[in-house]
Amino acid sequence: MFEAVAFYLFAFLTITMFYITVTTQQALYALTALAAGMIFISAFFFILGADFLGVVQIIVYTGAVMALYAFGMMFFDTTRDVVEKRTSPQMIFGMSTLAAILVVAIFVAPIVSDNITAFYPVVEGVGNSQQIGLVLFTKYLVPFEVAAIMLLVAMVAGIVLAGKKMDRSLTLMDCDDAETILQENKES
Amino acid sequence: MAPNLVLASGVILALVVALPVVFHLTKYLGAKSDSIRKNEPYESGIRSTHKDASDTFNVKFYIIGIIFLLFDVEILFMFPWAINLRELGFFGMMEMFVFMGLLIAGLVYVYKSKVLKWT
Amino acid sequence: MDTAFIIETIVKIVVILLIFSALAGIGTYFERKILAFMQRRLGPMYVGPFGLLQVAADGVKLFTKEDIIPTGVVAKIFKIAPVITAATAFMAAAAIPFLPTFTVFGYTVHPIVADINVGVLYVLGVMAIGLYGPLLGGLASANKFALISTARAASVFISYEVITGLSLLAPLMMVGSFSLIDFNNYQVDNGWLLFSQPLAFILFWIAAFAETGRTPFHLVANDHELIDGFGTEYSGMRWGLFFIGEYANMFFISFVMALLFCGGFGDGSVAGALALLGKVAFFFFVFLWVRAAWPDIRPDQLMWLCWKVLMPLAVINIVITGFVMMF
Repeated sequence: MFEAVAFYLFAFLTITMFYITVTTQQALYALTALAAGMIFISAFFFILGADFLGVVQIIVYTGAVMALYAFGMMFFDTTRDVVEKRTSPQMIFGMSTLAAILVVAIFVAPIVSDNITAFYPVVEGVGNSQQIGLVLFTKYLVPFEVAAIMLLVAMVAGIVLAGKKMDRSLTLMDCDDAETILQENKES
Repeated sequence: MAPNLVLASGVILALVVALPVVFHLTKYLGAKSDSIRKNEPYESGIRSTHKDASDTFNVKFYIIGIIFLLFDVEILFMFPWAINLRELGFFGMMEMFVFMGLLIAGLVYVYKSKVLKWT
Repeated sequence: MDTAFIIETIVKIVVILLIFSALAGIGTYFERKILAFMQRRLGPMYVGPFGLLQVAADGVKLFTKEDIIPTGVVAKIFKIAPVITAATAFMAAAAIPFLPTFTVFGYTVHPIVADINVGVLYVLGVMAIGLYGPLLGGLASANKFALISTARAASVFISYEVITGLSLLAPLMMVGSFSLIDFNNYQVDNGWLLFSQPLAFILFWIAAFAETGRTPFHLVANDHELIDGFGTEYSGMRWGLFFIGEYANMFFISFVMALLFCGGFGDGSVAGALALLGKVAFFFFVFLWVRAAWPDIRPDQLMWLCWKVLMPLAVINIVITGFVMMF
């Protein structure tokens, strides 16, 4: 009973937040709503008894990914509204078809997944985090190490892509040079 | 599971419900005035220059964000290992040191790439 | 789940809200007094005995000030941001065992709102959300000082979160649990973690200064260059909420340090409980002491310290702890 109420409450909140994210024209509303939605999603993990993943959801998505978005938003004026061009009716049609199929799939899922059992069901008395550790470091060892390499590659790629002309500082330049660069930026 | 959900919702609810009431009360309590100059953003007495304030940000802030994101994920991978260290034993520790070696390789690359040099 | 449990939880939440708000107010009084004595001044003197009622006077002032919403701001986000700062500070308090379990009139009280078994991670998670107060406050106010402050706040917060996480790993390896109560019990049996993990403790302490934005790392609202940083456009009670959040955070992180590294409430006796409060008071005092004794450092020095000094140290600490535990 309690779990059902909690599930529907948080499902409603999550969907509301993501709906705001998609429909709003104000970048800051989108950022805040997305961050709030990420926090509400973690509630599902808590309901399922996966405490560790719930907290990881908060730390990684709300704490790190959204902070990255926020840094991105500092590059433009966040107090102004962003007006999107919605010129392609095919796009809207395609998207709504996809959404309809998704809804059907979600409602069918319980019927199909009736007889699925969890590989690692929650064991009473053993902490969720302990179990994750044991499984991660015995059964899923190779994916785990591959994940490390992926993170390394992502880090290098991020620095290389975002770090072009990183050393150029407008404040330390001649006035004229800085003006030309600003002009170029405006034109492009 | 149940208690912490109750607690989190409870705390948030208490704050969210109580605060707008407080703010409304402050509206009727003190003095009030309204003028165009007063409501401008504060720029040390100069008329607002905000229009172009945000379009020349140093990209290093963004790169710090990227680096943090990746290190944060790696640290979260290390948490379940840390509390299971005794069960996983020596082999588990070696696995983690390989993982940490890759983390350190990333850190060395960050040092080399001048991201952390702030002139 | 029975009704008694729900009522107990709500009562606890209300008590924590009240105590932490009051502590934040009294904290400002102590800060002014201690700073004054260290600078050979008297501090607040006129309102009430020893200036004690200064807190109440400040409260009245904050409440009666006009709540100004400047032109050009994103009003909704601007209004929410201070609430987030205060809310996260109080939410973090939910997982902290403030005192050992005690019995009043035959009713056993657990002075912790939720004994979740991922307490340490919960603390880290809520601290991560705490970033959103300054972040949204600065981005929403149409002010370049606020914006610069936001960029600094975000980069400092996230950088030092890495240090917090890494420095906690070594104690976690030794204790083998995320629960703050397990930490406490481990230290009862094996002595304080402060002595077995001194490096981790110092790293965590330094990071605590950065996470609360206190003076050597007070770049977030560095008064002489950024006015009041992300709080520049705020007035009245909304600014007050930022303030309450900051001081509640200081108390909260003092509790965390006392619990994680300094034995917590020990075996749960009255002496242990008093010792815990004493430790918290000491850590809070050090926050103020450092503010009186140290100048601020530059943002680039802060980043250098975090990524090039503290982070390698934290990694080395983990490796050494691992080897010592294995052999």
